[in-house]
Amino acid sequence: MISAKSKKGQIIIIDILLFLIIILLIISIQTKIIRNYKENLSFQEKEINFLKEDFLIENYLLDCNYLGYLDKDTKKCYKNKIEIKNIDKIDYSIFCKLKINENIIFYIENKNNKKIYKRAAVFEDKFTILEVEFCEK
Amino acid sequence: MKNKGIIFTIDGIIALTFIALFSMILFVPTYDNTKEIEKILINNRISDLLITAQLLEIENSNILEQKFQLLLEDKSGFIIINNKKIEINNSHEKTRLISQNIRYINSSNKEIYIEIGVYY
Repeated sequence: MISAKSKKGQIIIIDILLFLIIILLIISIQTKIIRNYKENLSFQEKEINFLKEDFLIENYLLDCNYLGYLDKDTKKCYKNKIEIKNIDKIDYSIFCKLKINENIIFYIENKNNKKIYKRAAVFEDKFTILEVEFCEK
Repeated sequence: MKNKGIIFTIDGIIALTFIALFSMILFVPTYDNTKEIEKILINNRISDLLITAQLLEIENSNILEQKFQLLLEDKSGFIIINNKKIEINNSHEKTRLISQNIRYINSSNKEIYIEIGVYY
């Protein structure tokens, strides 16, 4: 016959064990949630980066201050028409490679593989593929 | 003694309630932006093809198809120049389509309609 004291002791132990199990459960759920949250943020940041880089090509590189063709008579800027000019003014901390068809305009060796962006343009009255690679930060 | 046991259990329940509230605040729905980003990137390339086709007065679908494949290598889609349509990389399983078109008068005073679509 179990004494009253021993019965109470057993109940206490069961309660403590239950409590510990609940705590462990809470900690594992918290860790999972925080990890998931961080992974989500970093994934979203990566996706936005693709968009930022493409935007940079369109509004920086293809601008008439750099490669965009500026008609000297009409002063019109043609974004999808390019000419090789102001290469030395381009920020090399952003762009690591610039290739027009098979001609490499500049290339800074970067051991990390980076995404290559291709845009179409007209260069010297011919269809051209402009390849741009961004520098790995 | 029994009360202490109940207190432990109540503590556990309160902690679980707290974690439920905490998870609701931090829970970020996994909305996949990838398709939206891809759509924007493809849109830019289609614009490039249309503008360059207009500048170079490309009226041959086969020539434009070559340019399409240079720029959008593994993508499938179609090109329509005036009434002629050609499919590119026909075996697509993708269901979303993005397309743009232009209509212009070329240097020979002829109306040209070009439409380019890409499946993604």
